[in-house]
Amino acid sequence: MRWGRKGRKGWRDEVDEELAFHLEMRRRSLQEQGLSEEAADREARRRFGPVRPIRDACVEVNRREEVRRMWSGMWSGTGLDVRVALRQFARRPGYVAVVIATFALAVGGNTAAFSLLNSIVLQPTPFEGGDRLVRMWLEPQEGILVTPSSELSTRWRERARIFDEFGTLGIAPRLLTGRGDPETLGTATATPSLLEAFGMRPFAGRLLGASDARAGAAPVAVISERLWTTRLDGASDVIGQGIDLDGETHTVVGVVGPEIRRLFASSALGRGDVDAWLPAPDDRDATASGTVIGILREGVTREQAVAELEAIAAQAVEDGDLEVEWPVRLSTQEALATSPLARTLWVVFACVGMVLLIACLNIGGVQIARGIERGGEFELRSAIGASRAGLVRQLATEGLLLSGVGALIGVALAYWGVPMLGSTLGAELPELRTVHLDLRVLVFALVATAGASFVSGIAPGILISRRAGRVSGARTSTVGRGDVRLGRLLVGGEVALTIVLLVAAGLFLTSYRHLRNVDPGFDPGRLIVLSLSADSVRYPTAPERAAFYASLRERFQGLPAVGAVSLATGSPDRLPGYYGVLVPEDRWSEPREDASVLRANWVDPGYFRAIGAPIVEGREPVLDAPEPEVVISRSAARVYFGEDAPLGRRFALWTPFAADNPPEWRRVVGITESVRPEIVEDPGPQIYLSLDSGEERATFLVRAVGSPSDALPALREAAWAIDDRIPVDAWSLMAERVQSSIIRQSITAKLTAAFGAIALLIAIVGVYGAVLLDSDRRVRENAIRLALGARPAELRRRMIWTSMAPVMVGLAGGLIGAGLAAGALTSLLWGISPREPMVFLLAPAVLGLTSWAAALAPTRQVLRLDPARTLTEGGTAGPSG
Amino acid sequence: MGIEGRILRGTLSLLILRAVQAGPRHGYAIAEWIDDVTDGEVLVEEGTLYPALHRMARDGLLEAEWGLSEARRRAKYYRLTPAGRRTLETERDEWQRYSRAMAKALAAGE
Repeated sequence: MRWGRKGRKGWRDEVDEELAFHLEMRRRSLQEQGLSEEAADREARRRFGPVRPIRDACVEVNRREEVRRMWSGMWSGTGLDVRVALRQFARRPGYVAVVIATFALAVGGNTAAFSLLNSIVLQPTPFEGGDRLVRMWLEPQEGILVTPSSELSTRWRERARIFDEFGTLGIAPRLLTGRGDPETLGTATATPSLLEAFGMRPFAGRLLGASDARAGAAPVAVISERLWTTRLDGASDVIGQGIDLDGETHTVVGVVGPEIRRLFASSALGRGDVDAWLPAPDDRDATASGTVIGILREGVTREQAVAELEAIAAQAVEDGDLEVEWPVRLSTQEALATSPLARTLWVVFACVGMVLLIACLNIGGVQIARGIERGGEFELRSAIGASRAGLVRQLATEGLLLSGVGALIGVALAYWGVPMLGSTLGAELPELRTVHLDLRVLVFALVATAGASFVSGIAPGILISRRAGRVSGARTSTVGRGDVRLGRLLVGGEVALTIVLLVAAGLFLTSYRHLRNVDPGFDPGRLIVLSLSADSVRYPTAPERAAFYASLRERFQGLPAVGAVSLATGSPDRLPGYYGVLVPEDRWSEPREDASVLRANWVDPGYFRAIGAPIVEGREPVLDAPEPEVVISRSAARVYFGEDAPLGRRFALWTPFAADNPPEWRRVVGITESVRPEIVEDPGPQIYLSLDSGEERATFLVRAVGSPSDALPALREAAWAIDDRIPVDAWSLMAERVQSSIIRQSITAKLTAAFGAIALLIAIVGVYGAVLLDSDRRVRENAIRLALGARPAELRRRMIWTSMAPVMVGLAGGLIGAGLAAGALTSLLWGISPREPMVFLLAPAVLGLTSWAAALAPTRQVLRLDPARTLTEGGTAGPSG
Repeated sequence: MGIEGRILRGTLSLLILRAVQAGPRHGYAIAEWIDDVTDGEVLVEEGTLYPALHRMARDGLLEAEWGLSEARRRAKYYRLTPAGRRTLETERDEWQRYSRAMAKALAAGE
């Protein structure tokens, strides 16, 4: 009896047929004895007994046996396979090391990339109901979102019936003083009930309560475990101690664990670490409002929510509590999954995946080549009775051992590397700080490893064993035609994938180079930035603040390392946005609908000199001018004044939030180049108003004479001499700030370039191997040709062209693939088209030339070929010959 | 197995081996043969035969093969394997010794 694999269904059919035959024969015999058809059937069944249990018993006997055989077949001889494999490896330690390292890097890279994707894109909400979390906005104009006023959010909270939870959340930096060096902390002012809704659990003390938010309640804070361990020494009696934030003492009532960091490290709510949670005052008149958020009741759709919120707003307008009514928009956590960072991560993930695939194809190719090399061994083994399955198993064991060990090392690399990556890049991209390995990542790693093992180990095993069965006994050549065709296919695939990677790398590099060369509109080179939020306890009034700033400026100016000092509200690389429109005096009475975001900075007269942005027309403003004087950017001149010359013109700012305010006239005295507030963004209109000294937030822009990092310590000392609570992190170098605004692009460019380089390397090795294989196959053929008078150089040229054919096909295929894939990158590229011709020319040129160079070496043997010797000795030189 | 009812342990398989001794037979023919030679005393339910046949095939005593029956229908034929033949011989000898001994014991006087 043959034991093919039938499976339960197969056995059931077979047994059914056998039993049916029995019943049919019995029925016939009974009918011949004179029973009616019906009676015969009944009698036949009675004599047979219960058909179903009998059938099942038969099937079970066979099924169990089949399964048993399968398993024992699979494992019998595994020990031997492993021993044989290890012997093979010991003979070729270099080869084994390279393969294992390739696997380790590829699986490690994939696991790392997937863990980034997993933490940031695939599971953005760390708490129950997180998918129903919405942030509420108003959209006065297409694409412009503004935060609702506190009057409106209070109304919503009182009347909306669609929320499980509703509150405000404001994330703001606050100065922590009193314990060690002053430090700026991320703090959140939140409606107390939100903390519980976010799934926070105090690990000491309690969360915030409603009573903490009442007017007149003592200031309290819930702090993060980070703050507790770094600034409060992890003291067990931390509850009840006080911490000073912006000069106000808050009593610590609880400590919360790190889980919640994930929500704020990357979320629609805002970015950054939160180390202290303060209660948002529960007061209708409270002006301190942050983002307005809610957790929708289960089953409430966003459309329903918007309709209800808009209805409440309309009622407020009717009641006269609200001036204008704007459409309501909701943003959710999902938005994050389509953010540029998420898209970047997908690209990185795809690139790493391609590198893994290229590596697998390559190892698969090498395995096949090695299998052919070992053709003799396999023939011998099959001659002494090894089955084909046995040969497959032997090769698969070897492949699995290599890929398994490699993958293990790879996962270990990811395990140690990923948190390191998170903390290294975390300063620039806070989202990355939350990256972690979890079960999902490990399952992914397992699947990746299994796929890699299949492509590189098991599939070649099957192919080689098939071949071993076929050519067994043939004496002519050890390399068959089919092997060469397969080798070519692998090379073509590798080349195609590599081209896609190279094109992606080229695009990102070109885009990044463009970004780096963008003129920011000012000179960040030797600029030092000091961002202050003068705390309102020490400097409660504007004159006090003004005096404080004045003394700082005086100190700075006196330092020999300092060239120019300017005080402004914002820094040129992060100009504050302002929602409104600039209206020339002669058009004040015209209807206005077109408010948009304009960037406004309040600056002192030395600003333009300090940041190195020349006034291109007109002059700098004078402080004591009879009428406030303003400098506007070229873009603002174009947007607001059109063809008219703006110099000397009067204008006022109008905003829909205070539509009825009387105009405050200012005069344009100068025009400057636009600065790019964030390099990747298009600079909108910008205006520079004269600074009223004494603002709470202030930015000093200091131009150093020499290197800015050398000037920094002296500046810091000078500042501390006036106020020792200025935090260290308030200082930054402009060049670094500009650089870090394009950190994502920089990382993408560098990563894809690295992947492209690795892929190129692997592909070249693959081409080299395939050419080697091909030239071995042709040793006899070439010898014959030479004997018949062919010129060696001619032969070699022909061989190179034959080996380049699959490369060319791969190049063409890869270019088509890259052309299609590049479209998906459009939104991640800056300043170039996704089909940038230069990139699409260079990538294949580089790969084509290197492949050609790789093909040169193995074909050189043709020149040394001695036809007489080769032909008499049988010409079965090994690939290394 | 309960399905085999009152058949003495080992009896059925011995009968099956004997039934195919002369040549390959399908299940129905085996059942008919057993029925004939035992006057219907052993095989009360004919279906009982089949799990035994499959087990014996699994154990390598029988070899099963699909063939064409006298009724021009596909039927599964069972044939003795060398192992089956050896088992038949040893078990037949054992059974005969045993049944002789039993008969003697039961016929013996006080």
